[in-house]
Amino acid sequence: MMSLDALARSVMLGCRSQKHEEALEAFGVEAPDPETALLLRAVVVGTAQLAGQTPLEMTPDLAPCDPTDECPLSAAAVPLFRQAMEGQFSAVFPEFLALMAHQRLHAPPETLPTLLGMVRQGEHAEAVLRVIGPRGRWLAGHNPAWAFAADQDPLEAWESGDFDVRLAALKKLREADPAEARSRLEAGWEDESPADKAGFLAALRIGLSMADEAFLVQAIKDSRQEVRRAAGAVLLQLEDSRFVGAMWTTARQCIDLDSPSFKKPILRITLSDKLDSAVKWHGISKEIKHKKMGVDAARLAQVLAFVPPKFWCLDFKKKPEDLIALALDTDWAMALLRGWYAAAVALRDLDWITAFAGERLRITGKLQANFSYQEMQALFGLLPIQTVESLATETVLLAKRDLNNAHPLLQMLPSVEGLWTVKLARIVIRSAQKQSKARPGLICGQLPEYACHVPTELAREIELAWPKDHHVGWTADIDAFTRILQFRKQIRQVLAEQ
Amino acid sequence: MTMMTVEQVEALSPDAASLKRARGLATERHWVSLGVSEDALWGECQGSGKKPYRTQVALSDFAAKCSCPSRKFPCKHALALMLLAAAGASGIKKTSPPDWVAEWIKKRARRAEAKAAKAQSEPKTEEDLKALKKAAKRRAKKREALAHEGVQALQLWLKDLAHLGLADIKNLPASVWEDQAARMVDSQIPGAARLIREMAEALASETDWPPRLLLRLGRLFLLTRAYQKLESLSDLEEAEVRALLGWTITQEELIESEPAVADDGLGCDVQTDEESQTGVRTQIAWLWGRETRQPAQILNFAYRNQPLDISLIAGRAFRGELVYYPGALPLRALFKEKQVLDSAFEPAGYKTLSGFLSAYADALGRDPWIEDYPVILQAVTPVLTNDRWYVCDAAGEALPLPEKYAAGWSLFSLSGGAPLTVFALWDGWVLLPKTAWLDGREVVL
Repeated sequence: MMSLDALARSVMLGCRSQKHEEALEAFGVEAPDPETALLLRAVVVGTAQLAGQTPLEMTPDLAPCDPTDECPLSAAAVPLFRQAMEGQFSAVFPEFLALMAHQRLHAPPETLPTLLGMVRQGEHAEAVLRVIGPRGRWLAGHNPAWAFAADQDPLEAWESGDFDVRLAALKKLREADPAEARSRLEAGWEDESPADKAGFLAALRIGLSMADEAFLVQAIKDSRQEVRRAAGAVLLQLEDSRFVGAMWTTARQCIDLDSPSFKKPILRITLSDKLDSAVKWHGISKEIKHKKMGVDAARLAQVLAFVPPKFWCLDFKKKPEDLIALALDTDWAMALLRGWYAAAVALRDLDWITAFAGERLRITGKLQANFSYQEMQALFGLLPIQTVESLATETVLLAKRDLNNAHPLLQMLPSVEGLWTVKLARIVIRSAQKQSKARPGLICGQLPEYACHVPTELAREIELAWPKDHHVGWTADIDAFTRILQFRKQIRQVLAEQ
Repeated sequence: MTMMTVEQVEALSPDAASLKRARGLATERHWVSLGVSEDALWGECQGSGKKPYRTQVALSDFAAKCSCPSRKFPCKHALALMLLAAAGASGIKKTSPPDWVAEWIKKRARRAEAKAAKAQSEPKTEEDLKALKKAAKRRAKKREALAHEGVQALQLWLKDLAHLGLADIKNLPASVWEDQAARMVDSQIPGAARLIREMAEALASETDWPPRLLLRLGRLFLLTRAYQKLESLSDLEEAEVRALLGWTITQEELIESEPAVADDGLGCDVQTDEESQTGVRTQIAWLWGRETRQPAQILNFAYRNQPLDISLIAGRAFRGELVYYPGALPLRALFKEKQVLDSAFEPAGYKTLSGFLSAYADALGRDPWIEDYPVILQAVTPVLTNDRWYVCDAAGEALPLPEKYAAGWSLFSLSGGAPLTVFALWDGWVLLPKTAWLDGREVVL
């Protein structure tokens, strides 16, 4: 019998060209006209074809995932996880992932394709990889696009994978045997693209030691700026390296502390000839990085960025906040501050970061002229929460003023990582509640972001404390704040019951 | 007491805007009072006026009532109240209902009793009955005449298409299909109109459209011929043909004339479609019987924001009695009685694909117009071969899933490479998985 496909192909041009007798013979159906014969024939052939079909034969060679090490989320937690993942409470998603990782729980299997897609896009990559569990790694092994997450031999992955896979493999290799990993990287170094080189260099922070110095010094002389910058950032972590030593010597020759008796000390800046040679030898870019800085200032800032800032404290016997204050009094303020800032952030030097943050929170401070909003946010993002609480206490409680819309802490709070302390949350939210009868401003607009940081045990206390007669412009943000806080509370309850 | 989940509340929302607004109200500070009892959930929501809106939800079927002026159902207040309950808001305390809630619950109970009593009430006088019958006969005769004309016109149109050829049909403007569908509505055979519209939609979306279109044209033509020869068909076949063309039967008539099947049913898939032109919303729910292992399709219709059966949710199980609409292959049914069960169950179905295809062949023999045939497949494993997903059974037999099946990786991940249970719709060519079960948890794909 002719198949339905064949019949369909034979009548693409219809019955126009067919004579009655030919059609009846072709379709094998008793009918008064070719059209009727065709339509009835289609039913006969189609029905017979559909009713008579058999399944395909297939012997899949599929090793199932071993379920023994799986720790699934409870049925109650799954819909909450999906809500957070699918964007309804996306701001809460990182916290959800962190809580799951803490409890060694794994993401629901049906969400793994979306999660692996997120990692590929660079969204929450590390946090997601901690919750995909054995099933996620098993799944990743079946899709080349997710091979970076698969249980694959890192040596094999390093040799054959794309950049993401190789980077993941290099990290694993560094964790297991840093020297072996470095020698693998060195072996193919010349063939790597500049972007890949920069990415791989950053991975050398894992298991970093003086044994890596020679390779990094070679990399910092690369012709491409992104490679030099990446190598410099890693070398900075090696305080005893010749590179850092050379930078310190160069920088120190340019900066001195003059401490006349009974007078305020002064930072004296004298640019040395060696600054130019340092720039040459260590691949520092000559281009000006900031529109308010000249060429010399830009070079000085770049050299300072490769010197651990604590060296200055030890050598000048000054605290970071004192040095910042002294720098602000010089004509080279921007170069000094931007260099120290870059080094402090790269090394996560908390003394310096706290000093910068404290200076930024002074209403009369001059620091803001030297840094962008984003740079300051990045800085606040590195502060431990207790330090933020101290800063808030100092600038709000001790100064006996609320966090009004002009307060610099307000702008920085959303970038502070993690959960606020109860005290900090009360300072901030009570300030908001006091101001909620006035027209909405910055503090109102940031409420939904604050909701991701406020301890959930305060949810009810805060909800009941909003003035009933708050300004109508606050309603949407208060509601959003309350919803997010409630959602977070619900997540914690459900996970606690797990 | 049956409480709801956030997902279930979301499914009840008449539209996205209502849900968004409800979320804004789903915080306790908007509520002057909150409470829950065995039967109902209630609260008073402070709106812009002096008096708060009184909102109440019956826990048996999630029917809601609110004193707000919204025409949407459920309104944002009812949705917000349910969202609060789903989130386990601490302010919702178990207590005895206030008068306004108790009164509503009583009224609902009285209405249900009255409805039951009406169904069993004595017939009217013989004269009234005769007059009613006569009028009904007159209307039926008139409709039959209109339908005959419509069916004849449809036959001619289908033959014109066959004469034209598949290549030219593909290029016809949308108005050709829509005009013909409208003619069928005028002829009081809306079922034919639906089939024409579906044909036009499928033509635009299916990649291997020629054989499928040809079969759809043939099936519709066969339907017109079957209608012209109703006298030679069995009662069930006649019922099937009439149902396909759009004859309906009232729920009361159906319950009176057909036997009820008692079983537990599991909601396997629930979809709501809205026709943009008419504003008619159609809710299509597929249930699967625990004991009978048979499917049932529940169809509900509503205009714009009128309520659908908001208790029908995928993953929810019911205990009750179903009455199937008569037909050669009864699939469509309605609840004669139903009660929501506290826990769902994992359904049992076919263990081999051969067994399923054999059942499908049998079904096709009884009803050549089957479109989507529902199935529970136990112990199938999703497999990806040459960029195409399949499900494979223990015997090494496989059926294809649609090309570019979006949920393929999710299904594969759920399976972990091991067999799992799947609810799917089979259209004769490809299997479309809608739901899968993992460790007793239902996952909508």
